Amino acid sequence: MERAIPAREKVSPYILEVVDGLKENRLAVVGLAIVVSLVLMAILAPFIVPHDPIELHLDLRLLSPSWQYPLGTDDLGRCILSRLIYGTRVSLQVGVMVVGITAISGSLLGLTAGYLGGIIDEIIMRIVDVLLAFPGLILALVIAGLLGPGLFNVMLALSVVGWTRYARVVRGCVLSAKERGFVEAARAIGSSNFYIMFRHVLPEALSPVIVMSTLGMGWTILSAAALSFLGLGAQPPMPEWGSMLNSGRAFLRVAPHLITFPGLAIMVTVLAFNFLGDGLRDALDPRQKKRVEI
Amino acid sequence: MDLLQISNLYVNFTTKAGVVRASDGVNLEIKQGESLCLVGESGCGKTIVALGIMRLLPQNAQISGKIWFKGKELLSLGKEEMRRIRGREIAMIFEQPATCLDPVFTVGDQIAEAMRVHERCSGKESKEKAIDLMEMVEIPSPQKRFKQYPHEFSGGMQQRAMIAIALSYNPSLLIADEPMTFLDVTIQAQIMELLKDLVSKFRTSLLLITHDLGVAAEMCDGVAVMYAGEIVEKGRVSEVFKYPKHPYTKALLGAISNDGLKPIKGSVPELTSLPSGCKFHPRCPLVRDVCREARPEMKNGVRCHLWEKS
Amino acid sequence: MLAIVLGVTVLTFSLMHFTPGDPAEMIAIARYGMEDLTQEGIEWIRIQEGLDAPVWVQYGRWLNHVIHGDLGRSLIDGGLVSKDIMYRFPATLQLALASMIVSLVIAIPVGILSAVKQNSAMDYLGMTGALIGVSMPNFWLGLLLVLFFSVYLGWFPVCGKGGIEHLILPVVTLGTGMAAITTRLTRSSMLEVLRQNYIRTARAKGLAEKLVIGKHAFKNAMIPVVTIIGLQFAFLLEGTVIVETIFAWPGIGRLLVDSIFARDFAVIQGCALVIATIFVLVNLAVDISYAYLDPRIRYERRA
Repeated sequence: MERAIPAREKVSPYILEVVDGLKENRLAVVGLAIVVSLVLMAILAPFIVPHDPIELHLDLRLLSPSWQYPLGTDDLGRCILSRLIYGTRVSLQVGVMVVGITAISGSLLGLTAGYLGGIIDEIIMRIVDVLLAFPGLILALVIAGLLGPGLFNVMLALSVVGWTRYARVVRGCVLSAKERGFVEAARAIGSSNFYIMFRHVLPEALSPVIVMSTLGMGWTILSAAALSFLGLGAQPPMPEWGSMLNSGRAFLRVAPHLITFPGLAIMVTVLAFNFLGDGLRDALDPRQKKRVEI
Repeated sequence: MDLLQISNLYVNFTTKAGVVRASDGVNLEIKQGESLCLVGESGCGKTIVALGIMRLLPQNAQISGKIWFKGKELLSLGKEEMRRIRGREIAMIFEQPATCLDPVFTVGDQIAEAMRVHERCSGKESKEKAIDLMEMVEIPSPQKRFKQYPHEFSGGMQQRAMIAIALSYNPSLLIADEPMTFLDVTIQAQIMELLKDLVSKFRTSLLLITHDLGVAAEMCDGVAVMYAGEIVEKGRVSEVFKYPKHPYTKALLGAISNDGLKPIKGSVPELTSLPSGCKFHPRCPLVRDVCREARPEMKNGVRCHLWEKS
Repeated sequence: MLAIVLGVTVLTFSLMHFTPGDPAEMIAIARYGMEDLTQEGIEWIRIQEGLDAPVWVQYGRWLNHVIHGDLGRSLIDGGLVSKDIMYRFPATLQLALASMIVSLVIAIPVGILSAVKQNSAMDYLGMTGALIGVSMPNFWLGLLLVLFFSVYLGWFPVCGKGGIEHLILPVVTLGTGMAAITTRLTRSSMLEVLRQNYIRTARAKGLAEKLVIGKHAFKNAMIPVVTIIGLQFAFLLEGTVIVETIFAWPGIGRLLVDSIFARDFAVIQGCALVIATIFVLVNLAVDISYAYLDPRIRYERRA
C-alpha cells in the first residue's frame, strides 16, 4: 500500500477522487465493465463471431437456439448471435459519432452564446428553444423521414436534435463563470477571448458535459434503435439491433427468440451507459458527496 | 421531583468517517417551572440532546440511556405514545425559523394544524384558536396574517409563529434551540422578551439551548455547560457565571468579558476522534498529566480533575 | 411562448421546404402517377400551388392558412390534413392520458415508499425496477407484452383499437416506461424534502407520520415531479409513435409514421406542427400549475 502512494500522487487528486467515487458505486462499476466488454466485442467482432452475420442460409431459417447457433437463426437463416455481435459495432459507432458531434458542436455553440452574449446569444438560444419545443425523437423521426431511410440520415437527424442540451448547460456554466468575475479578471490582464474561453470556462463545463455525453450515449443508441425499428435507420442486411427487432416482429408467434435477444442487447447497453452516467454524476458532483457524509 | 431527568444519555452516529459521539453520557435535570440553559460552542452536541428528548434524531442514531419525563421513560415509549407527548407536553422551537415552516402551506394553517392534532376540533374552532395564539405572540393583524405564507413573514414574525405553534397546547416543557440566532439584534431582544413573558405566564419549564451567555444569564435559572458531548459544569446561573469552576466555562465567559474578546484557543474536537482523558485538555491552560489520562467525574457540579482534588 | 410557436412553424415549414427534391414534381407524381408525368403538368402545379413565389411569401401564405386551421391537403388522397389529424387525435389522447395516469399511479406511491423506507428491500426492489424501466426500449417491451399476454396467454388482442382490452397492452407499454422516470424523481425529491427542517417541525408538533408524509412532505415533493411532467410529455408523445405502430393504434403517431413512408409531406408537416404545439401547450400548463403548487412563485409573479 505504502509504495502505491507516490505513484498515485502523480495523477491529479481530482481525477483520483472521481475514480474513488466511481469505485464505491457498484452499479457504475458494473456499467463500466459492460461498456468495456461491448467495446471489445465491437473491435473483435470478426474474430469471435461463430458465423457470418450476412450470409443467407435459406435451409436454416428460424432455428431455435442450439449448440451450433447459440441464439438461433433469423428468418433468412443467419446466426442471431453473430448479428448481435456485429450490431454492437453499429450501435457504438452511431453513439460515438452522434455524441461526439453533438457534444462538441453543442458545447462550442453554448460557449459562444454565453461568452459573446447579445444578439448571437439570442439567436442561438432561440434556435435551442424551438428545437426543444419538439419531443426529440419525433423531430429526429421527421428529419430522418424527410431525408429518407438510412443509418447516415438517422445519425444526422439525431445530431440536429441532440446538441441543444449541451449548448444550454455550457452556456449556463459560462454565465456563472462570468458572474464570478474571473473572466473579467483574465481579460484585464490581457488574455485573448479565445484563450479565456478555453483556459477558464471549458474546464468548468467539462464534468457536466462528460456526464451528459455518457447518458447521451444511452439515449442515442436507444433512439437510433427506435428509428431503425420503425424502418428508418439501418437497412438490410446491416445487422442492427432495432431493425432486427423490426424484422423479427413478423415471426412473433413462431420464433420469439428473434425479438428476445436484440431487445435484451439494446437494454443492457443502454442500462450500462445509464449506470455509468449516474455513477459519474455522483462522483463528479461534490455536493452529493457531502450529503453522504452527514 | 424533576420534570425531566436525563441520565447517561449516549447518542452515536456511525458514519464513514467513524463513530460520532454526539452525546457522551449526558446527565441533566429540569425542575417544574425551571428554566435551564444548555450552553457551549456549536458542534458540541447540544442540539442532539434536545432532539434526543423529542426522539426526533435521524434514523441512523444509536441512542442509549434514560430520559424520564413525568414518570415516563421516553426512550422506551411506543411511537404513538411519544407522538402524543410531542407538541402537547414537550414542544420545541428551532433556529432558522425560515426553514422550519412548510413553505407551501399558510402560516395560519400550520398553527391551526397544531391545534387539531391532539384534540378533535373543527376547522373553524381551530382557526379561531390559532388567531388567538397569533395575537398572544404579538403578530400584528392576525386575521390577515393567517392566510399568508411563510415567505411573506419576516424572520422575527416567523419565529413568533413557531412559538405560537409550540405553545398551542400549553406544554410542560418548551425546548428552544438557538431561537434567536440568525435574527437581527433588535428582533432577538423582542423574541427573548416574548419567550420570557410567555414562559412565566404559563409556568412552562424551559430548556434553552444557546451559545449566547448573555441570553442565558437573562432568561434562565440554571445552566449546564456542554463540551464535546458531555456536561462539564452545571449549577445556578448566578453562581456559575460569577464563580465558574471549569476552565472551559471560564474560557467561555472570558471570551465575552469586559477586557474585550478573548477567543478560546483551538477548536472543538471532532466528535469522531475525541481526546483521551479530559476532553478539554488540549485547549486547557491549566492542563496536567492526569488530565491527559483519566476522564474526570462530575463532582460538586463540575467535571474537572483540578476540583476533584481540592 | 408565442415566439416559440412561431419558431416551430418556421422550423416545420423550412424542414419541408429544404427537403431534397422538387415539391411540385412530388405533388404531380402523387396526383397523376409516374406515367402521366409531364414537364407542363409539373409547371402547372408549381404555379397552381404558388410554389414559384419567393420562400418567405410561401411561408406567409402557409402560415395564414395554418392560423385559420388549414393544414393543407394530403398529397396521397387529397383529403384535408386537419380533418385527418382531428379524426386521429382522440385515439392518441386516450392512449396518452391513460398512460399518464397509469404511470403516476405506479410511480408516486412507489417513489414515496422507497424514500420513506430508504435502503429497505422495498426501496431496492423499486429502484431496480425503475432502472430497468428507464433503460427498457418501449418497442421491445411492447413486443414482449404481446408475446406473453396475447400470443401465449391469449388474454388481450394483439393489436387494433376497440374496447378496454385493446387499450391495456399499449397503455402498460407506455405507462411503465414513464413510471420508471417518475419513480426515480419522486424518490429523490422526497428524500430531499424529508431532510428539511419543516418536516422536523411537523413531527415536533406531534403530527402523525401519515400526515407528515402525506401532507407536508407530499406537497413539497410533488413540485419537481409536476415540473418534470412537461418533459415527460415529450417521452409520452415519442412513445405514442412507437406504441401506435406496434399495436396498430389509429392515432397521430401512426399517421406520422405512415405518412413518412408514403412521403406525404403535407401530412408530416401537419402532424409535426400539431405535436409540437401540444407539447408547448402542455409545458405552459405545467408552468401554471407549478405556480399553483409553490406559493413562493405565485408571490413573485404577483409582485
